[in-house]
Amino acid sequence: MNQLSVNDLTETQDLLELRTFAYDILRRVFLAEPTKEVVTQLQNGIIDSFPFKDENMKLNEGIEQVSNYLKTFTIDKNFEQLHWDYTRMFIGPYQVPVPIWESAYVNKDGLLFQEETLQVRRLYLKNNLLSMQFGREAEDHLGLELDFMYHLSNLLTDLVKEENVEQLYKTVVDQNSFLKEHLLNWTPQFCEKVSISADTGFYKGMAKILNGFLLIDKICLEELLARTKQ
Amino acid sequence: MSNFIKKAMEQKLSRKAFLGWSAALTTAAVVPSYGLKQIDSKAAAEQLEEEGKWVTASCWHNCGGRCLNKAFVVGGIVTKQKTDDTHKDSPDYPQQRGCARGRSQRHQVFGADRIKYPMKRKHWEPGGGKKELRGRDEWVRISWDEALDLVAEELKRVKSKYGNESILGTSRLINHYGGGLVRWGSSSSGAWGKPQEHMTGFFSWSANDRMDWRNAKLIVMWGSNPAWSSAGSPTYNLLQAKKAGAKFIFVDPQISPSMKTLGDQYIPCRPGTDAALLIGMAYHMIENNLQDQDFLNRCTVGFDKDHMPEGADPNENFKDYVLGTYDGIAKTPEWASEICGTNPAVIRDFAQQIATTKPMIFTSSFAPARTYRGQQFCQAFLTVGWMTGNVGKSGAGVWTNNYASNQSYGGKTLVRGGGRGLPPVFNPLFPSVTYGAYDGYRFGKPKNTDFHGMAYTETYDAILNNEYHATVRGKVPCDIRMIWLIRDGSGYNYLNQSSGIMKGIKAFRKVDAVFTNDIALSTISKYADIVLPATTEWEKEGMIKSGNPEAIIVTKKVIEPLFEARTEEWMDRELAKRIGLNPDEVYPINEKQQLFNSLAGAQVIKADGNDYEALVTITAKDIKNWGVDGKPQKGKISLEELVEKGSFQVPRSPNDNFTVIQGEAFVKDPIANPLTTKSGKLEIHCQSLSDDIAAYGFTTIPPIAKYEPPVEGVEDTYKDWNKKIKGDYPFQLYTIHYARRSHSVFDNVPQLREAFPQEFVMNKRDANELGLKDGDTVLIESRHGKVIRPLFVTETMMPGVVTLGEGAWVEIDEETGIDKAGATNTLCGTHLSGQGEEPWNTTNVRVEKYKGKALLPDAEWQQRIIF
Repeated sequence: MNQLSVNDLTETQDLLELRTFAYDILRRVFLAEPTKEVVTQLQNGIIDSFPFKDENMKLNEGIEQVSNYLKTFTIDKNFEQLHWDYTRMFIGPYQVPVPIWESAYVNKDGLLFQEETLQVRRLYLKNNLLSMQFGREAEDHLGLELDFMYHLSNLLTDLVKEENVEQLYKTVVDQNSFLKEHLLNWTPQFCEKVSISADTGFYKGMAKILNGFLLIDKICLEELLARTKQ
Repeated sequence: MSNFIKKAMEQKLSRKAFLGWSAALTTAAVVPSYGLKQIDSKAAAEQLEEEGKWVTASCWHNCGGRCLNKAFVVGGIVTKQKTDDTHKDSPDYPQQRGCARGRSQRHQVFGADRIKYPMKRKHWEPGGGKKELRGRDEWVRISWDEALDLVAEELKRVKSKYGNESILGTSRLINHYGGGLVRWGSSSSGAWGKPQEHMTGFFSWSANDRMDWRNAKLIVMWGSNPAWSSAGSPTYNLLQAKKAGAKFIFVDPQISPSMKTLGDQYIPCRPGTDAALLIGMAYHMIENNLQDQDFLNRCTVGFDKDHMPEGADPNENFKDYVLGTYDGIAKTPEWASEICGTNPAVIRDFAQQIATTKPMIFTSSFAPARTYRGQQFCQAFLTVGWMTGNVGKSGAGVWTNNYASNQSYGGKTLVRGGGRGLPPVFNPLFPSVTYGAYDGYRFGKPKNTDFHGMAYTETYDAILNNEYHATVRGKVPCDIRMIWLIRDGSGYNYLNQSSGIMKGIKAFRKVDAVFTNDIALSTISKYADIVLPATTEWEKEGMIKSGNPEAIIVTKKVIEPLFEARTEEWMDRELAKRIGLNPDEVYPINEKQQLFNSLAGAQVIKADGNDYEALVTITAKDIKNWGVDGKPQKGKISLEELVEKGSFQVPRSPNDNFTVIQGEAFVKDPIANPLTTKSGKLEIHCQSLSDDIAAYGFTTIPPIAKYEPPVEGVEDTYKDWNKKIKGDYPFQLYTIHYARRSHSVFDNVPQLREAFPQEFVMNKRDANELGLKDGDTVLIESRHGKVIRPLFVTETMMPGVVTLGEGAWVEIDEETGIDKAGATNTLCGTHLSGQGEEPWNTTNVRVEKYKGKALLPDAEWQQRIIF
């Protein structure tokens, strides 16, 4: 190692883990319809442990809202409704109020599988990642974009352990630009639409969590950039 | 010290929770089945290097054109489109360039509203469940297995309990399974089928080759608007005739885009009254002895009492009907004018021009025949055209263009694809008919007694009242339980595209099950119970598409099926297994082999203009590469080059050997070269036509052209026709092909909605009288339904006549029953006429300012997005 001290890097470890945690929750929430296992975990206190609760008002509100929703939630009584809320908003029913793909917001024609999809796919490929649903699901699906952030966050923790400074910095740069150029470019509109269209406090709150956390992560990544730059 | 790095160290609780969460989910083995996976760097690098290529992409619609459409594909993503640039454009050898719709093909294939997964209406269950919720229920995404099982079980149940006759709809699979009821009748060609068959032996469905149109001095376009109805090259071809000196006269209720492009003179005529206008013109010609008597004597029967076909009443000749010899009513231009709204002086001048300008082409579209008792227009059009003697000569002709793709072409087919090799499967319930969107189209044997099915416009009454007209058998009982529309993807969407949508919805809400496959939630799928996600043609192996007779288009698979979309063939095969059929018997050859067969069998005309030869050179290596069965052959272009280029077009020049003068030999010597009509001549008096129409059991027509008021024609807009007091529905609506879509296909594409806003068009003076102004949202009501639309007022429309483009996706407001989209079939009634033609252009309406909320522009509507 040259200019960076081992200590400088080890200090980032906690942040990197928390980011991984946050992205893990978010990707699981938005990638597909809810599963009973994930909801049960969230209900068992996980959502209250979402990092940086006090750092952003929206995030805080969102956590409260999801937490309140889950207080009275039971799998038997409420799961079908929760499941339906996802399907209705992001997949079906009759008229989908909230498209869940970047190109639906960014592309002037509002289509899927567009130039934006290709850009995102290329970024995944540069990190040796490929969609399990290649060709059948567009890569700019919110869940996949969050999954990408999750994978890179995970990778960062490994790189710190390996003290691979060069790759570490490069990956932080990638994450930073992906966040700014992609996720933050459209999720504010997406979250706004969810807050209008969701029937459950769960998704209304989750949209706020997403919104709030991405803003926090923007700052985190700037800090990490400064910290990992050689 | 940065904040979050430090803060993270303080978030002990969160870190602890994280560990717990990870452990818990690992134990539960909840690995997301969606998401990203690690691949090796070499594979990733290879994918990154992919640069993309142009692929000929199908533009497969029933739009009247057939153009070359190419997609630039990078790793399954289409980033741009282009059209024909395979050769330099010239009037003789034009490029086959796409229109606004073809260039929006990407928007259809990749629209966010694609049906992505199998879906089921929430409250459907075998037997129907809550049937009344069709069209307004919630949807549930289901797995393919679940969907196929449900569909197969219900099909088996309905068949075993009620028999095949309770299934409405056919397909390759259904025909293998015992068949289903066929909807039959005539949509596109209106009433033209039977008059062509009996009066001309289909002689007037062919035209002189397009090169010869440049020799005409006058071209009459009756009810034709190729600029919108036949996008592609037809208008361009006609422009060449205009440049060569032809005068164009358009007969239409409105000054159409084609009139604006090509026209020299406009003749207004009310919908459904064309026969009256023509008969008035005939009067002027007879009065002034302008008819080509020699041609009439030699080549036709029935014009006057001295030239009647065998066995006919001599008094029932056309000339004496026009003169009013026996009925006391002279069919003067003044008589005609009261009906058709055209000034008598204009009628006389028009008649004078067509009778004295030679050579003249007298051509009509199908539209004026899409009226109640529409045969009378066909009879009058042919008769008056023949009176001018413009048959069998250069620059001359009397014909109705044989479907849109032929408008301005005529002549021989210069290049054509071969058969795909899939054996036909006939419907056991409807002998000689196979299956598909056009299964019962122009069903022509009303005297048959062994068919099962009803006219297009009687479908809903048959479902609701359990009986239908079976032509000569009279009414027969039925019990329709299932509507089947899992079929090849053609955009067949009859709930939207057949008359009487409101009645249709009621009927759909009566049956036990409605199953469809679709690429988006078209109307018929919106009212279905299970909808299976279908691939577009871009996601299939490819095919040869024909359109105009000079070119074929060879398309290729552009992308793999999106989401969980599957081909119809795959669905049929999966269903076959579940209902006890052998999928390999239903589809003995695969799609790739089918494409190969059609390429191997493709033929092109030789330079001599008579014989044909194989088009494609195929080598043993090609056959191996394709993995198909076949034999090497020699042709004019290699398989690889043809597929790469995407089209084959025969170059033309005015002096080539391909020019055809339709009927030349017949006119020179009608005895030696008889037609296939009963008399061997063109039949102005045609008893077999009259008899055949009577056999259908709906309406009757006399053997010669006469005008009788149609149901919902101009007469029915009056409470008192003689005193000219208007009634409850004072306007005549006619429906047009609208440039925003191909029938109903493409109506979901926002950029096309923006370009073509589906306005209701009305004359300015009519609007003023009703206190309406441009842009108002108006309520349009007929005896059959009501719609709202933004108003467009213009002086280019005849007073008393209004129009709306056909094909908008009906959007019923469940509270008011108003269709907000303006689907014309909400307004058109289910009248039974002639050979079962849809009488769309005879519909009466009233118009008023809409008191509810004004409409948003269609382009700003939400798409129908489901799974």
